[in-house]
Amino acid sequence: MNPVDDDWFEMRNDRGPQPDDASLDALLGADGHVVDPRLSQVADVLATWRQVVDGPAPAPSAALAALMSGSTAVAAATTTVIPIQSARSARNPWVRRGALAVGISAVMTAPFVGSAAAQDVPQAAREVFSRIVTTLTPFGSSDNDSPTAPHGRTSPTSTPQPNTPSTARPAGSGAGGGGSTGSGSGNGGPGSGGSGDGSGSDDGSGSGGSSGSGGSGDDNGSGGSGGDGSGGRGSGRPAPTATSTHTSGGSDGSDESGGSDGSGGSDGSGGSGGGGSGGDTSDESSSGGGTHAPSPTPTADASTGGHGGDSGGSGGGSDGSHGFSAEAPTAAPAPAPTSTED
Amino acid sequence: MTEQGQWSPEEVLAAAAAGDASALRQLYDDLAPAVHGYLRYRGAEEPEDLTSEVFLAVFPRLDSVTGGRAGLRSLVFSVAHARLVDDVRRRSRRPGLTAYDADLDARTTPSSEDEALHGIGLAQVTRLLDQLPEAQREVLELRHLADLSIEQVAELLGRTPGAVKQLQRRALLTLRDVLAREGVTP
Repeated sequence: MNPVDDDWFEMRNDRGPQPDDASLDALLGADGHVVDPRLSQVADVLATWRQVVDGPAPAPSAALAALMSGSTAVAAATTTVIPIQSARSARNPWVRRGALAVGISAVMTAPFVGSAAAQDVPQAAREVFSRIVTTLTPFGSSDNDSPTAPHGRTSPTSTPQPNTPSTARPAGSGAGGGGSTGSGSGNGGPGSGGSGDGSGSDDGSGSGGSSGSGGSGDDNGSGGSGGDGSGGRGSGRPAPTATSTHTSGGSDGSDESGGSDGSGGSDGSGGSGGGGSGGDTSDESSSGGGTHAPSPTPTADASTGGHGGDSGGSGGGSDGSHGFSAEAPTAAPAPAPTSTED
Repeated sequence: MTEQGQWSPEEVLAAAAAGDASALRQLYDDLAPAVHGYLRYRGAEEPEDLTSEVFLAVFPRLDSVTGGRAGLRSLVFSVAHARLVDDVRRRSRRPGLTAYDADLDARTTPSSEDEALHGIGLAQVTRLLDQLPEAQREVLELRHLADLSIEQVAELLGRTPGAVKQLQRRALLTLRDVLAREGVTP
């Protein structure tokens, strides 16, 4: 039996029938009275206990007296109500200013962050940030990285491809400055040539032979996915026989930087450009093969924004001995086996 | 508007809710003794100040009182009970140390003559009630001293009316047994 049951309670007392609830209720309260004579002692105790609350009312406090007198102003004055929010704000006004500054900064930088996420940051801004990062952090961010790989991404098919051994004649070893996704083979002019596969940057440029025979660049820029391979920056002296065929360059580009206008580098530079197609012009282009000789008259500065199929296949190097592949930043440098340094 | 003495309890409550000073005073005189006695009996440190605080909290809420005077009484003792609990907790966290002063000690023990003349004294009643479990004693306090109904006590204590009724029954029967066992005669 549960000890908290009423039955157990009744049995434990063993005093016979217990008073009913009505009799017990009648004992309580201000108008309590005895219904059951067995509860007379309890009624007396309760009546004595009732004296506790039968005293006079205590004097009200000043605030309560003011409230009861109808002077709400006095009551309000005595009852201090602290507006929590305003008190918190007044406690530290700089918190609100700081929050406002952070909010404004966030709003102002949001477009830039968005454009950066979309990889649509202007070149100038990238350079600025490169300098900042280089200056403020121990991480290097050279300026060369940005132009050659402006977006810092690689084509899905961008895998370094080892340069194939040159099949050119000794006099004309061409290093194929392959695009990042494509392989370009440049067949230089007479005495030049060679083929090479390699990964190049977006801006592959060919360099012609130094003897003016850079001639034909047969850039087989087999751009993998590119479609917009950048043509090499052909510069310098046009080679009379410069021809270029663009076999698998960019799909959307015309081979405007082939050997025709990219051939014949001055002083050995030039040559055939990459097999890439012309799209928008790029203000910078890496020099593919050759000697990195500055081109006095860049004629074909065709590099599209595309990244695939950037053959950049360089034709024969100067004297046919150059022709190291243009290296894409994202591709492992693949020195052409046939390259020889001056 | 009739004269003050002729107001019905509902009219007094309505007038007090409207801010009538005499009605507020009447309510205070009616309820303050019970509140003060309840707080003092429960051992409040400053029962007078606590009583004023109770009415300062209740009077601005008179327009929301439902149930007439019974509802007002329930609200008043609900606030009083909450303030008492707060007072007990505050003192338990920071027990005050006060030097004993016999002149300020209001505790008295009735003499045999007093008991013979006035029957059982309040101190003895208090001692008897202290033998009850806390839950039972609390129900008796609110039912007998605060004049609250079983439903009001149940709402205030967060119990069911049936549980309150059982606690009340056991408390009264236990008190009767204690009186019989100790031979206390009024």
